[in-house]
Amino acid sequence: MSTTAGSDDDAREIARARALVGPLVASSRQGDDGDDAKTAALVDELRSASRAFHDVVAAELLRAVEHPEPRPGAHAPWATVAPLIAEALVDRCTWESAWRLLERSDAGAAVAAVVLSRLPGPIGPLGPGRLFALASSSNAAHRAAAIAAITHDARTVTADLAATAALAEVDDVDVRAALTTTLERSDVRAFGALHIALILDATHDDVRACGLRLLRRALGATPCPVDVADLLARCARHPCADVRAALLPLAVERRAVAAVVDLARAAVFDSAAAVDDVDLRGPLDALDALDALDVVGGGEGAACADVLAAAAWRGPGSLRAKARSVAAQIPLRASDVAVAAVLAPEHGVDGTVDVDGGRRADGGRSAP
Amino acid sequence: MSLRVRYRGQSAVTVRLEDAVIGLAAHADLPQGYLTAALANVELVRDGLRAAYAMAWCGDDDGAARDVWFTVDDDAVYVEAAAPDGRAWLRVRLSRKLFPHARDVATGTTTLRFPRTLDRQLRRVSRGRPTTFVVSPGGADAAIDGSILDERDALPPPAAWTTTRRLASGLAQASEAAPRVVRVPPAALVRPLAAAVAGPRLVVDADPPWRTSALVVDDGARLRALAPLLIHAREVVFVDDGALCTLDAGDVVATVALARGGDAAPNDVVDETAHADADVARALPCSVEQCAAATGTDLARARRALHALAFAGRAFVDVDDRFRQRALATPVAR
Repeated sequence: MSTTAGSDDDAREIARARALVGPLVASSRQGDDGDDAKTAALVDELRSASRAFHDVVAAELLRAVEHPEPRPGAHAPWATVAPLIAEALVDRCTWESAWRLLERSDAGAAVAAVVLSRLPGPIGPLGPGRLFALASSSNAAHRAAAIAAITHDARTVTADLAATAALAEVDDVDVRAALTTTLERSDVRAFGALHIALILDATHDDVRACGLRLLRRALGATPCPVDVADLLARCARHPCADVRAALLPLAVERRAVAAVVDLARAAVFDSAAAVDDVDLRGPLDALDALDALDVVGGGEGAACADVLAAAAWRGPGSLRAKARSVAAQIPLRASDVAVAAVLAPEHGVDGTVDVDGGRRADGGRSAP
Repeated sequence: MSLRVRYRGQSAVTVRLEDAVIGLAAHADLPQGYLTAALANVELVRDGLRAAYAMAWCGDDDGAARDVWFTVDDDAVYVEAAAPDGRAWLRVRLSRKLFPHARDVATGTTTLRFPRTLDRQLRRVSRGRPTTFVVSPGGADAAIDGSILDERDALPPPAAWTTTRRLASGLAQASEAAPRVVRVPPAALVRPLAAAVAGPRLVVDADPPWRTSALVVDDGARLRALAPLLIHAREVVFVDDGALCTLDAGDVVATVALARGGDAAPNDVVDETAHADADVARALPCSVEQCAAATGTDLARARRALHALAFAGRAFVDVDDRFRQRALATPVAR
């Protein structure tokens, strides 16, 4: 008896669902103006309807959005309906059919986004190529579908960071926000130096900031998953000042002479920096913190000459004094013309001018 | 007059966890000057490309892409770029040592598509990640069909082509008049070059030993193109107060030639009466003396012939003062 009663209830629900969804199906096929009142009535009904009711609407919805729109926006009501019947949609949709929906219309993309956000691990079947295509699309509905996939598949984003790294370069700020939020929710123990370096190499400030936050978390983890020496070797000449500023204390702390000098030189020669933005104070302090034996022992004396010289030539007075003080600590090659320039005012070096290509200025001294 | 460029592929940098690929699309109709190689010094090549990008996009943000010239020779690879107004020319010479075990090599000259986003992408390449360099019609695309993705007239504008060709010839560095030469260590240029962004003049008036050789270069902003390479440089040499500037970074040597004066610049005077003959072209690469010996002519005639080749875009004077073969496509009437 109860089975029969249940079947009767389902039959009534199915009939009611068909009656409510029918006008929407007709208007989306014929390209009529959508009837907002009918859409609202269906939405109201869906909030409390049974699964049988949802199944009918999902089947009609998928059938409708698989056809091209007769006019732009004809499928729009389905985008409103889709989130309410997500489970029924997921049961009826394969990966390939979801992908086809993306290409049909904005409403189809919205439906696909709903499906992608419900299925476990959507990025795997979708693939990095398709995900990137969606994320970099000019179509907002496509980007929303990509965001849904990124947000609901943190495991793949983290585990296969290399495949999703291209997302860090997408221009859409919402896609990048979804990526960085997902990364920051991940278990930081999954990130090694390679992964952190990949994130720090992003050209968008927000992604690099995320990488620096991850690095700080990783450094605080026990055991630390990041090989700092490896990270310094990879990133010491980083083109971005924010990354260099974060790595400098790590290099000084570990007395990584080569990394300090590389960071300092990258700061001096930062081709993107304007004249007053060349950050010399930090690198000079770092060189100062390493004593002469460190630098000479690391074989980097000559390499830091241009850092000192750049600071001594045109920097403010305090910086010039600092450069000379550092230069005095480090027995640099006196034949280096840059060093000669640094030391000249205090050491009475003969400032030989090299004109006509005939003579090289050696500061009046020969190499040791 | 215009120079039409057509590309089937994309130019882009692909960065992966443990490696990267710099894929540059070559001209669809110039099937030479290709190369694929794992780079021996990633940052040196990267910054050479960034210098060419800086010159190609110098002072003009219009459009989606620029074009640079790319020449593959037996011992070196050359990337050349003109400023958008044609009044500056950059040549970056990259030793073939930087491209060990190159495959899919085709010597010759083509153009490469440098999209607006390329510099941003190149900044992601670093020595921590082994990098493969690919120049081919497909560039960064794994596969291409017959469709053309980008077709347009290349810069510089036709009115500036004579000046550009003169600068591209490299004849300024082969000048017989005694030039004024100033050698400057790279660090001395950091701040002056940064300042040149804001103004048209580059002033190097550093402390000793350069105090007495203060160097003023008009249009120093063009020299900003060298900024990415400064970190690698051993020395920068200015000739004739910056009409020619050469940055020596060992396996990479970059040269910038700047046009001087107004629109009717003396640089525009080209000796069109001299005609090169085929024997001279076959003697390349060669010095004037070697050319004279190889062709059995006197020095004056050999020099005229080599200059004519250079003005025609079919040769240029390299950093070793020898003339080398390189065929720039010639703008045609449309």
